[in-house]
Amino acid sequence: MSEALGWLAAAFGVVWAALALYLWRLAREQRRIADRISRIEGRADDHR
Amino acid sequence: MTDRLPSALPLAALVAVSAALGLIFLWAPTEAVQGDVQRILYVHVPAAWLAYLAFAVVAVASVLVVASGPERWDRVAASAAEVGVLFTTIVLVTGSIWARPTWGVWWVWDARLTTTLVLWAVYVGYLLFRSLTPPGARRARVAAVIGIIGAIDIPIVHFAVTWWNTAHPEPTVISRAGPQLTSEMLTTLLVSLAAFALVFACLLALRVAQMSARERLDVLEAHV
Repeated sequence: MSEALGWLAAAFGVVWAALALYLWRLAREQRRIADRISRIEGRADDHR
Repeated sequence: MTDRLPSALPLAALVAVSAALGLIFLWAPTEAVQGDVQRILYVHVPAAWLAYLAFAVVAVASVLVVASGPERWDRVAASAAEVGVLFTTIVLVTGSIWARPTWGVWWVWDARLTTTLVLWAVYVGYLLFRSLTPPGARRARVAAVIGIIGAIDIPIVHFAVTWWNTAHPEPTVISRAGPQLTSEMLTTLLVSLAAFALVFACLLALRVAQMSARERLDVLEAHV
């Protein structure tokens, strides 16, 4: 019984870990995009 | 496909995932032979179906890239390939974890497992090619060809269990004799499939929106 739950926990852990890792990657990309927008806005303000 | 993530989509995904987890652990009956390990089915099978869908999206978007040019559809193809590889990784690892207590081994080189590994490797290759090649029309066209050819493996993976003798069981839901699951198990599987589909839609929409924003920023940075 406990061994079966161990396998089950491992499988569901893998699902959560894979999704969390991909979401972390998307969040990192989102931060990069936000940084680039800030830099472009800064340069546009300097031109004005 | 829209370049913005509808705000209701993540909320719907969260509700569906919560409902699926409730059904999987609190409602679905324990299978008589395998016991609780069989509950892996509720993530393994939906992940496999959504991986098929993701690579089918890659193939259709790739055809549109070849037919009408790389704008937009190249982003859709690349995003769907990423999500497809993610879901196929989940399929391979959860399948391996399920195989160990039921078959006594982590892996066998049977037709279903091997063709699934090939599908994963083709689209990992597709993503590697994209990351190592400068962006542009040429990259989009070559990637589209890989995306279309790779999708040929989808029906081979699906029918591998009926075409060849495999350790992997035959389809338990889409079979000639009808679903080989109790109604509670089938309901749980379908709710889990809906949850995975909503997560898939969220990730795909988010990634397409990001790629679109990045390309617009490339143009802006060249002019400011």
